[in-house]
Amino acid sequence: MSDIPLGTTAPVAVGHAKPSMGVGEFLSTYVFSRDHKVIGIQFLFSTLLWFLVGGLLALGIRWQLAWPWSNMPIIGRMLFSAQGGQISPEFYTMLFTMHATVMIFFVIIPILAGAFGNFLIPLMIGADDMAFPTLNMLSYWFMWPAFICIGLSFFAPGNGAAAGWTSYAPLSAIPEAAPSSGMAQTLWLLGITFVGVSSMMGSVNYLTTIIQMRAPGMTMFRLPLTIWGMFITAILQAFALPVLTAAGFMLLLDRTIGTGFFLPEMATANNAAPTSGGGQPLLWQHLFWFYSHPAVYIMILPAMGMVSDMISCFARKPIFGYKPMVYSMSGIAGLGFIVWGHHMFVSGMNPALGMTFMVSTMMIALPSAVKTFNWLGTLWGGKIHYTTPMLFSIAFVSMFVIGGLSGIFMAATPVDQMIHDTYYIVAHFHYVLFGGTAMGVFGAIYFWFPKMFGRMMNDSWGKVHFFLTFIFLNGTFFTMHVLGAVGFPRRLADPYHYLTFAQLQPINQFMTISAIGMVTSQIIFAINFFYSMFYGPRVGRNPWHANSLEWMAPSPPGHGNFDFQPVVYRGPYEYGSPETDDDYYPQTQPPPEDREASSDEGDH
Amino acid sequence: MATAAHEHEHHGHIRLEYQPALPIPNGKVCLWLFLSTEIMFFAALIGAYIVLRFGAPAGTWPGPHDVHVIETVGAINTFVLICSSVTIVLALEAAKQNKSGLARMFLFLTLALGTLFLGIKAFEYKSKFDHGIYPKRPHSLVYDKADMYYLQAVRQRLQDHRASIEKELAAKPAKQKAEVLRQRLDVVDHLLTHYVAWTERQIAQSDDAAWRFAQFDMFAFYIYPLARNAAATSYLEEDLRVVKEELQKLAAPMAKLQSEIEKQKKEAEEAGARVEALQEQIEEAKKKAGDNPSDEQKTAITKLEEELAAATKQQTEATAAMKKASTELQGLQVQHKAAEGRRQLIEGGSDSPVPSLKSLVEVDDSGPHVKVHGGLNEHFPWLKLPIHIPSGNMWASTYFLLTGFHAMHVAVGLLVFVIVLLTGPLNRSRANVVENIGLYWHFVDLVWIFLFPLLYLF
Amino acid sequence: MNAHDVSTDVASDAHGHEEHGGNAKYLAVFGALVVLTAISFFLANSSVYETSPVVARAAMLAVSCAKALLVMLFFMHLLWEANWKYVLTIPASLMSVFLVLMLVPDVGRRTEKYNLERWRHASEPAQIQHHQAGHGADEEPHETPDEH
Repeated sequence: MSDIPLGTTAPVAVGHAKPSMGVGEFLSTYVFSRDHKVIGIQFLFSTLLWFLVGGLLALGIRWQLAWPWSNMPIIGRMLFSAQGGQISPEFYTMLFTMHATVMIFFVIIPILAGAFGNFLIPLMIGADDMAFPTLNMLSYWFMWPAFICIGLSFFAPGNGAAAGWTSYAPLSAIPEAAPSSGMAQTLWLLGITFVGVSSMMGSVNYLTTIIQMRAPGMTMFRLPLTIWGMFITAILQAFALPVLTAAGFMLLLDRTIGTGFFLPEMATANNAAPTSGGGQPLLWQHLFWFYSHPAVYIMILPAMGMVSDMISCFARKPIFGYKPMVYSMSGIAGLGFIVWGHHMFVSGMNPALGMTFMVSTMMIALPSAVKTFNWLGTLWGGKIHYTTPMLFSIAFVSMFVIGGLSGIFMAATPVDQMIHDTYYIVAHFHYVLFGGTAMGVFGAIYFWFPKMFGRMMNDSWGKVHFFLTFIFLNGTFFTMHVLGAVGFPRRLADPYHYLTFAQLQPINQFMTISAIGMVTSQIIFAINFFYSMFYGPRVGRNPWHANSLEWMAPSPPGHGNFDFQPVVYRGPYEYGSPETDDDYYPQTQPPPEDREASSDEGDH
Repeated sequence: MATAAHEHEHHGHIRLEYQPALPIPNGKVCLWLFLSTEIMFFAALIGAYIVLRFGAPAGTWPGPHDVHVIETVGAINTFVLICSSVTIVLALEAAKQNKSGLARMFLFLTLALGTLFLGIKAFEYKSKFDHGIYPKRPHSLVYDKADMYYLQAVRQRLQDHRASIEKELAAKPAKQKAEVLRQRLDVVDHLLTHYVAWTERQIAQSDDAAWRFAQFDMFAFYIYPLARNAAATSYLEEDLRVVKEELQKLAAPMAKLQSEIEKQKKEAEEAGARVEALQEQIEEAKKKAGDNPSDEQKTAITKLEEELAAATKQQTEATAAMKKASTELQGLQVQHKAAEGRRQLIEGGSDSPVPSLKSLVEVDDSGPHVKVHGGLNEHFPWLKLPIHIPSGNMWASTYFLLTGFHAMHVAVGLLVFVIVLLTGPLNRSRANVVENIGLYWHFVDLVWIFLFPLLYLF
Repeated sequence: MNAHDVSTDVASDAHGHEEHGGNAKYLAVFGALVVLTAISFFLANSSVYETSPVVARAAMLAVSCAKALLVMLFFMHLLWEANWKYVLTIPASLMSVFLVLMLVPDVGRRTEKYNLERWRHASEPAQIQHHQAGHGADEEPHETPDEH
């Protein structure tokens, strides 16, 4: 493989680096691009921007919980001049609704599937692009109507949807129910529908690409686990999302033209005309969670895959139990479809269903544990390189363990009935989604940044970013377990109104300070990111000495990705193989006996 | 496994070689994946329909005829879609054999059949809309229950009619139009008194729960009859019997009062005549007597005056008695008029601007299904009174949801057909395009195959 | 499996099933579909539906499934496709059925949990309306199912 420069620092310019370009060419190259890498980076920037919005919304929540009804610094006077800088309970409701909506639908799902899925899938399987580049472009541009709808929702009466990110009927179904149940809620629903259309287009495209466009020799069991994560995520999206889309349309019709799918008879609120009814509010919950429970796996499986790749690379060891990893991911996905009811234990759901869902939910602990032990097995005895992506990956594993374990608690119906709607739940999903996915995503950004932009991010500042984030994240979220255990309720603007919780205010103040620290430490990341984009040290094709195909392509890869025909000879985790002198063994490197023949053939 | 890299350039980069897992084109893989997402989409919609429909209070879901669903039309539409499925598969075969003209012809036929399907669908929708069956915020014409809310809604609708007609009349419309409006005003007033107010009074006055519910059922039935509520015809008979009984009951006291009035009137008249005669006599006597009447004359005058007083008293008494009786009679007459109006509403009559309720609804129980048609809403299409269909709102919600999303898929298919027809010949090189749109079209047909029995036959 | 860039290949070339079509076969399937539609149409209007609607409905659904199978196997060519057809269709079908089944206890049987207040506004079952008008007030015909 002499033709592939490994680990070189010389810049490799391929494809689209042209000195001057017209407006039309600029638009087709960077804006309405059909190139998967550009689309992936578009997704990355959009989602990071929304990450900032979501983070600020979270700070709003934290401010209110730490110092209820006090003036919010800076923006308080601006937004709430009428109330003397005080927020209203409705505004608080909006804050947590939009925080969750933005973080789930505009950050986590699109950053995993949209940004990394787009960028990595063709590169890692050895394809020149997605199977349907135009469809791929559309899947990004269908996010924009969603962005606009949710953005407009902030300016509709009520300042944004406030029925919770779950939008339970009838609060979300009767437009007069609350100030924000009107136009804001309609826009919210439209936004979610557009996200759904975008994800659907993305997922069928990913599936077709992974099924049909793997490089010769890249069998399914030679795929990196990242691709497996993306593949299973795409399946989940393809099968679960249409149900949410259907339910969203039904809710939209309930609100606009007066159907009654989710409304009981003669339901009324704030002097609204009574509903015609005949429906059942629980139907919305079932349909919503039929999507949104698989969605929580959509939010973590790709991160699991990416973390597996990073851990294997930086432990310089093959991943422990590759096939069990694949099977456990599939198991999580399969089980993920039949556990949605555990979100509804206290909804008045039929107890027989509750029992079924409890058992199936607990079974998810099995494949999750398989994955955790495999990561530990990979680390065990490895030659660990504590780079920034590795630190984030290890944090992912440990945080996922905490989040996963608390998940088993709440899977048990009797326990859940005590901790439902308390901060215990909030602690659980923040450990999984922030401690897990966000850590994985940060790691992945540090890891694949050189491939995206051809330059390295600063590792020292990356470590500073990591340690600050890690400490503040635990400061913010671990305390939530304590609060939840004593029953501190979520979604209340002022829980201290109840004397039982009044003594918990100092803990909340501690959490808020941690949260502010956590958001502030992202400034380091932002500066590092943008500085390195332009001034970071240039890298060659394979700065991490990793095995998978994307590292064989130029950094950044040009249009068409590969300047040679990739042919795969082995799995992506052959680190420290006895067959080769290096401690890594790229997937495209021919085995010793036919190395000669292949290098003749692959020489261009 | 192929290992040779292709050297030729492809869009400025080398053309890569792949190892596809499936021996079918990427487009078809993607389309099949899309169809499986569509399966889940319709599974959610149809699943919601199934649980909402079979979970509705037992026995309330409207039958096809209650909501103007005609099975035959549904069957025809099924046939149309099946035909279109055949034509598109024939288009594919023709395209595979490179017979572009034939393929285009078959695809055009599919397009025509799809359009016909949508046309029939539109016709079906119109028949629902015409009867006020559609979901609408805050409330459509459909009420799930015939109760006080329903009755109030009917009253409100009639009063709204009244107000708007009066407003139009005030604007001095053309003579012919004014005549129509006045007739409508008559109908509205008649219904307000003898249909709505009567039922309200019956319900308010009766302490018999069964009778109250019968009144509600009857009230709703003659606005918009449902076969299942055909028992309302017997309630109407019962109501008619009660009305007639009341009329009969009123007849005797009214006649008695009438004769009493006659008698008193006669008496008063006689007394009046006497009073006049006596007054004349007294005048005459006084004249005769002059300024110095004799004692005899005085006595005579006094006697006459006494007689006059008695006659006057008699007249006053008789008049008072007559007035009392006629007041009583008026009371009875109001009752009688109400009952008579109701009777005429039920049986028909010269004073009623509304045809008899009995003739308004035809019940045909000769076939296996009881069939009813007619009702106030059908006879006066401008009335558009609220109608009672048990679970009718949920029926409308689900019917329009399922057929609407199906029709949207049909419309998207048609759009794609047009694009494919316009973008060139359908020879062998484009057979995969025909195959893909065909797969989509067959899926649309599949959905309808399940919707037809679920919506039309169940 | 050496078909590179298969997306531009002709469908029939990519898998060598040239002979599976045959217009006569399609017309036969068409005939079967029409006959099956007629069967379900007459089932709905027959005495079977009057006497045992459950049987009639099950039969109609079976007919629909048969029709769906015919369309999928012949018109959508699944009969001649490789095993991937099972991977795509069976999980989706199973999941659909599972979704509906899980909706039955909470939504399909929701009237069992209706409270009196909800019954007051809900559509009433038809059978309780079969009462004689003008009967005594001691007979309460509109009692709701959760009362007995």
